Amino acid sequence: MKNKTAIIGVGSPFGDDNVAEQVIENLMQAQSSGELSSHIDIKYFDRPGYALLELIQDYSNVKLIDAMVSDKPIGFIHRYDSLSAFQQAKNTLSSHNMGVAEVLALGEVLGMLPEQITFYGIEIKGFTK
Amino acid sequence: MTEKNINVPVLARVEGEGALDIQIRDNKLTKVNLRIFEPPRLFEKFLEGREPNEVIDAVARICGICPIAYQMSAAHALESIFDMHPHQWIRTMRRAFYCGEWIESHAIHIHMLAGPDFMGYPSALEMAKDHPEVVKNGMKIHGLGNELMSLFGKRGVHPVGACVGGFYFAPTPKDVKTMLEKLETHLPLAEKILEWTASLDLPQQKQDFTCVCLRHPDEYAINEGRIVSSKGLDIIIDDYEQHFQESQSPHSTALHSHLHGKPYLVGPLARVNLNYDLLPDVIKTKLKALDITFPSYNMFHSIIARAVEIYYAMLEAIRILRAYVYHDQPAVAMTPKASVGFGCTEAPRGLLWHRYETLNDGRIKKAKIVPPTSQNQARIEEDLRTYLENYGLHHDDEKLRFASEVVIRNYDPCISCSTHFLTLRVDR
Repeated sequence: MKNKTAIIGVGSPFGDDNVAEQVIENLMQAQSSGELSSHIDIKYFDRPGYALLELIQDYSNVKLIDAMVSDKPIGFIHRYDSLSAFQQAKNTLSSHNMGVAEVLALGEVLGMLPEQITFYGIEIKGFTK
Repeated sequence: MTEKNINVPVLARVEGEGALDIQIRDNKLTKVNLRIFEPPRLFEKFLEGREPNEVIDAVARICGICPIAYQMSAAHALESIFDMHPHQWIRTMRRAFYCGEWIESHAIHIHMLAGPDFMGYPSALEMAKDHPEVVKNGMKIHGLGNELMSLFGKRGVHPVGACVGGFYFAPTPKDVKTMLEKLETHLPLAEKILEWTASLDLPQQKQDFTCVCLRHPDEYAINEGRIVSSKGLDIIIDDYEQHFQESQSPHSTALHSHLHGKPYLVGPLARVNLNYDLLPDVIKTKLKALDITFPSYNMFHSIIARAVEIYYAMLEAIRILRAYVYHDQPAVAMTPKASVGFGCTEAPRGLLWHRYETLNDGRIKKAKIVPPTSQNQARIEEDLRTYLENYGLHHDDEKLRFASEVVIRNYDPCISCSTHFLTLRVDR
């Protein structure tokens, strides 16, 4: 039955893009010390691409953490309570071409998204090209 | 004299980064430069001084789509240096492991990358609105491939189960049974995907090119074999450098590869063309019913070749997992020494050749990695010349850019491993 909650961090393990991985590690520690419910699945995926849709299939509530670049100061935490709000945010960052927003948009068209999805974008220093 | 330069600055739906510059003079193509930025070459240097098993984990990081290919080519090379002989169980399970990667990689390319080109959509997202089932089938098969990779590698992205000598663990019969049931349940989907690719309105254009792949006498080659070509080449993998030359071009950080001075094709179409006889009868019968003939020298039949290989990899994984017996020694002992060795396997995108030189304790003295995309680069440029001239250089820049993108995407260039997307610059 899909009634589970997951906190999922995505991003590459390199440079500041690993901010979600660091958050997930801290949350895992908090869970093992009893500060966070053991009923919540806490996971990190290194640039999962389209597989992200399969990975969130079993959950009704997903909190997704990713790095972001906008005009906010480094460390600023953006929160979006819907996919459309997340997609409207400017300068969302993906270090990979199959970005989270693109994959989730596909998930929405295909009816593969969990009932509730919240996005947390942590402001990092942008990549230079 | 009329001049036109077209520049495609960003190549969409290609893994990694690349750009294309073409120059048109008097309605003739005078320059076709595909620029690819290639990180694997840096990995060669990173690997120096590393212990053998560090290499297996490091090379998996070269590509998020085909980590197993890198791991397998490296493992085979190091095992040959150390005179290690992995037993039959290891050999067979590596084949099943690799099938997972072919399935997931090909499913993504067919449905998300190349499919929209032939269905007339700008993206998979747009195609999904009108054909959700097609895209869902692709996602399902992609997910299955990832699961199969995870069975042996513990995770689908950058798996960690493989080591020099075999695997760190053998999957439990229970996990194998669960995987097998999923593969059997979804086998009809693989057949459906093949039917769908065969129904696509693909451009019809025969070209003259040389196919190169591994060939094994008894099986459709994945992990082992001799390097063969459609022009009669038949060599052991150690002799690769005697026949294939790499050269630097000013426009690309990826090295161009040539076989006896000429471009060549690696990848699914080359494999199906040269190893068609080794495919199971069920696939040959299906292709006959679909009126599809291999060998084919229409590059756009690559998408059908990928579907053939998904079907094959599903059948092969099912065959292997049905006979699965748990093994308590999933790896043979490592016996490091100083020497030189080679590994060559069939990555989803084609031949992936590795050469290593080791120190007495097995650490890496020197590494060389030749990924499939850089091998295909000269062939892509040759294809672009032929295709664009036939297509008509009078078309506006936007149309030329789209046509170029379709041609390039058809090769599934993993530009993250040899390189983001197409920046097209047209100089007319």
